[in-house]
Amino acid sequence: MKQSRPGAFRGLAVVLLLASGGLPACVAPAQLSLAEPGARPQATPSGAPRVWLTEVIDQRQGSESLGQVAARNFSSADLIPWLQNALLGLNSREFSLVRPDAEALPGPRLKVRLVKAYVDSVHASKIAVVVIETELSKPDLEQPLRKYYRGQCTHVNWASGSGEVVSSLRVALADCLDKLGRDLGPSLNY
Amino acid sequence: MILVRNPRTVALLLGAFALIGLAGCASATRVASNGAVERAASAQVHVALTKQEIGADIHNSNVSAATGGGLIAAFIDLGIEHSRAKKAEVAIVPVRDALLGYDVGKTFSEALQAAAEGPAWLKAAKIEVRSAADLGDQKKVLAAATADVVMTLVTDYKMLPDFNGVRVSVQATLRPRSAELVATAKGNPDGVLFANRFVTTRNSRAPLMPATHAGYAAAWAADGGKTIRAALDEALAELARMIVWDLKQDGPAGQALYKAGADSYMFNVVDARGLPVRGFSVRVDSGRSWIRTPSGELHSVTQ
Repeated sequence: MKQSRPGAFRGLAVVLLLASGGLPACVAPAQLSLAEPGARPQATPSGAPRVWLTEVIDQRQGSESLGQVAARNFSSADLIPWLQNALLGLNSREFSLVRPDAEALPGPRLKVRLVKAYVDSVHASKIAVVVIETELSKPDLEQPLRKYYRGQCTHVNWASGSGEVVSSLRVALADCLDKLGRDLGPSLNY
Repeated sequence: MILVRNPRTVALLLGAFALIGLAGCASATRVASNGAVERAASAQVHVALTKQEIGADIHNSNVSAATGGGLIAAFIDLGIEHSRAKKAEVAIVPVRDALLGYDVGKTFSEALQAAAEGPAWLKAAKIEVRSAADLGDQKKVLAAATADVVMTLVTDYKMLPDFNGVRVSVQATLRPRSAELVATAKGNPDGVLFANRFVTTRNSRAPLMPATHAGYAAAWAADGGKTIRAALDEALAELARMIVWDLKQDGPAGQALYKAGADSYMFNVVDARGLPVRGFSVRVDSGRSWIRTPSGELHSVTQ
């Protein structure tokens, strides 16, 4: 029988030490950059009625946290710019969402509140959810029209990577804004 | 390669891993304060939410277990569980929509302070509700605190896999800050003064309803979510009562396992790992039994 080699234990100890040194890094949330590089708001279609996007605010409980996928925490500081850019790209033939300028004309106004934005996991699947509340004011409406829109997606979680989590959040937001886009045109003619 | 060639090393490593595993099974996870909590004069309390909305759970796929493992079986399990997760996430939407505006953190904070028999420091504390991720670094939280103790209550809530019930759980940890309490907790795991996990479940009482995910979800969400809101109110209030009661209960010396008395009623519950475990009744509260598992967790079940 061969003699045992102390080097084997030493090697294992070094590997374990290095691995445990990396663990504290897992506690700090991974910061996600959600803005798509090079993305520009869609051009305003000519003749489409303008809707002034007067306010986009974060109504979540004062945190940048986006939740966790398989015990990995995620957060993002640019949720509101990300949502605002996506809203400004929502233009269609029925309406065009624009930021109000100093000479904003009276017309339909839309306030958007981000109510939920999170990722989660169910076994080996990752979930992304975005919920917004909209408040549409029009001169012919006595009360603003309030509605919630929810977008979500469920993808296989491969490695809890930042890229795949960002991708899921974008799909969830696209789903949410698709519902808003389909609803906003008829609401303007309500 | 070194490990494979050297049988003695393999045997030593296997023995070490087995010992580590056995040690994990043989000790309680609950840390009893044994009266020390009464000596705290002030507290900082954080309710930490792991989720922004109610979660969905699914049944495990057991193809790997049934076929003896292997990569193909693992992929089949992955596919089945992903399909179940997708369906559950769609089915749960009415429940989540009905709970928009329901504040779990606020409801639980109010229940904690309203719980009779609660320690004075808990009633006087200003309870802060935060995301669990923001409280990940407990050393920082402890360093920033000024009170005698810092209590963290990590709260989770999800539908049972069939949507026929909702399970709410809290992992409570009480960390000492004052020199006297730090000295008392010395020797406890992680230097905590008290730690335990609390679980309660509320089952659907909806009659004559299709026993499907969609059927249960519709029943929970009906009437503006009256049923699910009432279930969460009840569950959070009970968890608050369980915590304040358990703070005062002693535990066996040296983190030994909890043992049932000779005349205890035995119940099956699901532990933190999702495994069935047999526990014993320690108290009856509002028609429900509180069950202590061998590791010390406290579960509430209908009698």
